[in-house]
Amino acid sequence: MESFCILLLILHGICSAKGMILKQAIVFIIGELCCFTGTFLIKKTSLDAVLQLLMRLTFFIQAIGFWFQFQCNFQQDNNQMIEFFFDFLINLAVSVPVYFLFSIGKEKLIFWIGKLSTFLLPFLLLYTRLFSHPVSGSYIQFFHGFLTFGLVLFLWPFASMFLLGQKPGTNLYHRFYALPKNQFFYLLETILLILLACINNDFGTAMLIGATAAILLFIYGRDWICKISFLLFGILGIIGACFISQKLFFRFFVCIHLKECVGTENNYLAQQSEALLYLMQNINVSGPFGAGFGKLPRSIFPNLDTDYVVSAMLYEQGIWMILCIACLILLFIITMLKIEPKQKLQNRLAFMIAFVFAVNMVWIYLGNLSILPICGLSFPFISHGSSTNLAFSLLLTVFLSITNDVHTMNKHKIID
Amino acid sequence: MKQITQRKNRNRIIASLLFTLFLITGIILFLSRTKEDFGRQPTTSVLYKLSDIYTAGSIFDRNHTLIAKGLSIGQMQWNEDNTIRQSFSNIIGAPIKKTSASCYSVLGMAAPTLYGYHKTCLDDWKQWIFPQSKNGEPIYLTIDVDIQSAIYHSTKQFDNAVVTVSNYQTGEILGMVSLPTFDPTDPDSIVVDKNGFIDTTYHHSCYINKNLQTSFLPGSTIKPILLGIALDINPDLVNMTYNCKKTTHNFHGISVGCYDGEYHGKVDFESALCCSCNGYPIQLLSQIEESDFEQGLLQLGLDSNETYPNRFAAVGSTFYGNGEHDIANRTLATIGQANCRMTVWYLTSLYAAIFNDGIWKNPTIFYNDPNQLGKGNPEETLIYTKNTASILKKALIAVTKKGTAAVYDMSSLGFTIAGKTGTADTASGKRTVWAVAGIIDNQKPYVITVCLPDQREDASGSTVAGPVMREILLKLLQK
Repeated sequence: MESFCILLLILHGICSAKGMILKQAIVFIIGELCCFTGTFLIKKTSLDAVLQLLMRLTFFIQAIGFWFQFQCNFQQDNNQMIEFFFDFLINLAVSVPVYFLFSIGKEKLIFWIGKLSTFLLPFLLLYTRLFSHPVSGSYIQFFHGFLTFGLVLFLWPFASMFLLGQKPGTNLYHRFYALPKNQFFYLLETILLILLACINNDFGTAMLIGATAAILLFIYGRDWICKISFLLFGILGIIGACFISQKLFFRFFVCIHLKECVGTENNYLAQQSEALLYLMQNINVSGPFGAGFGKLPRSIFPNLDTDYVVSAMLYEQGIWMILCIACLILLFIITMLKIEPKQKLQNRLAFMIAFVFAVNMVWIYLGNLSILPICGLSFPFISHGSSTNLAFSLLLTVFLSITNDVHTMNKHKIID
Repeated sequence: MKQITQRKNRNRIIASLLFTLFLITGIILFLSRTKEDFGRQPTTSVLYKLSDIYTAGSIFDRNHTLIAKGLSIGQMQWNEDNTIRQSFSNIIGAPIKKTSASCYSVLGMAAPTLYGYHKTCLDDWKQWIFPQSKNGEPIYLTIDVDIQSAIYHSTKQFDNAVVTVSNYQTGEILGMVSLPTFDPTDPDSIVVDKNGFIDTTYHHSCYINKNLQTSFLPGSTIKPILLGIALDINPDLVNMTYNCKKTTHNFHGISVGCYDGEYHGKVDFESALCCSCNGYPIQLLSQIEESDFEQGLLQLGLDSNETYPNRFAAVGSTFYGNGEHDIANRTLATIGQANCRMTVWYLTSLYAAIFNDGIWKNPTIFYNDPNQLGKGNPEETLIYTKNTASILKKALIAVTKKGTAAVYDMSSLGFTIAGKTGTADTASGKRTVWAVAGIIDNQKPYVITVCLPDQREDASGSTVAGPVMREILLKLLQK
């Protein structure tokens, strides 16, 4: 089924693109064929059916990524499409050794990376603030094209796993807040990282950490006082970040008071609201099947291939396409959450990785419909971004590695 | 152990449900927003697309006379009467795909209806998913073909003329002519640049509706508008007198003479307006604080980026404009010079407020529903107190009885006319002359503004615009 859909994507891409540049078309076709082969090969492996489905979904999302990047770039004479293809190859190449490394290292390796991540993350954000050059006012560059956000994406689930996987114990304030010791330290780490991210003007990191922590602790909190207080802390962290940055505050304001922002004298507000207005107008004009390949103006959606991927698909392919994407996101998230390793650390890590994917996908999706502010998060495998896609690939590899390991152990037990 | 596993499963189910809930709520919120009215003003690029998809609907006047109708995509069939065709050409506007600012034309303003765009995807989902007909719907202009033709015939001898007729009780625009015009049925009459767009300055801006899209120096016609601000702040100023002589025409180091170097001697409020004395309004406005004055300007919509509801658009009118808010600019703008610039429609609407007890009516140029004709826009703003409006109206009646606007006094026909003329010197050395008239009559509550740009150096509002106004008034009153 996935293979059939990918074939359809290839056909749609080729048929819709007029005036395409040859080298980009070749990269597009090779990329789609790689995904096609990937989904075909998975059937031959011995993985559990759920893991098979997860991998097929990943390849399918990656195929949509190729198809989307192709439609963003097919009329432009640049190397972005080729870069996207090479990123894909590098991600595949890096994922294989990482898979075996985690399969061999098991829980000990996860524990040590978790410990390291917990202490490394604050220093990483400080390093970026002190030694990197700002990009559009944000200190997000770690090394050349690689962003700190990619590293945070990879390390944050490990740090969460390390802190929440510790024995609960009690702390000084336990009587008042019903807060176990591990969750208390997790809260401190979260607050520290959000503050550092705000200092860096890196609100994508602040949102990711705030949102994952809020939902995670809402679910894992010991009692309702704990659940609600954590949820509020997370939400306050997000709102606090919005108030620190005027840019982010305006974006948040547009989400809430769109009507007041349309035609306002403030250029930034008007510009931000224009994007949503444009989408709504288009839905009514061009029908449910969109305006067509490559029609979204970059003047209104400047970060077309990164921040506004869902908007672009909504405009160009219509509302049916984004409803399909919504189904795909839910299927992907539910499949990830369905896999539950027995070991506590692995369990927490798998859950956190699923959360990182879910938060990124859902935030970008809702941000593009102007329900949440756009703040630098990335749609896995569809948005253009070397470091973030590498981080997502590695996270998925770790996820598959630990869950496959558990699955194999369970299988052996059953056989015994 | 089983309980722990069940709890863990429950946690994961809760997480899945939370994300599902977020996504579904987000999509529903987005779709519900698409139904709201504020999303129904199409941008230029959407208009281009619409004109490629839809055949435009029909355009009727207020008496249901067909002005133009869509024949096929991109093609319009116009009324066979040459006068109707010419007089409506730039009001309805050049084809959408040939203009980059169609928002000031009827085609642009009424696009949501003319191109079937006002229906949202959720209102008409069958048409949205399975589109069958791509025909727009009709609109009904508030403009009267007879009034339009009368204005056109009275002004067509001028190379450059702009006239608006409006109903001051309803805010409906009854006539709007912008000369020169073009023949919309002749493809060769539309000259485009290398990008395929019309040149808005070509042949005295014949392709655009100058009533809404061009602002002019208003000369003395701005004086009653500004005096109204002062009277609202301090009604006692109406009793101020001023001695108009050579020695009293220097204001803060700026020497301002009256028209053609005349001096009027001792003048009061009414006589100053009758003889269009420049010194009187400058002296009177100097009695009020700058902050109060600027507040008054904003209340009148001058120097503000005001937008109008009900699909209507016009360029802004200014007092200070981009200039400094200093005494020199204020003095010169008080007599309609410097950065003081008004669109003809906006000046008409401000005079309409004077004749309508200080109530400014939101403008209307077309309706989707013909039953709305004559009802006007219910939205209104009080810009002058009733007392101020009454004083100004009385003074303006005096101007047509014994002042500069006496040329279009219609008391012989039994009608009371309130009016004002104006003359402005432009930087090119040519003059822009004005005549404004309001018919004080409940059966014909019309306000008319005639603006004739690019006139000779010896032209004036009384001598050039006045007779044109008289001719138009005669046609309107005898109708």
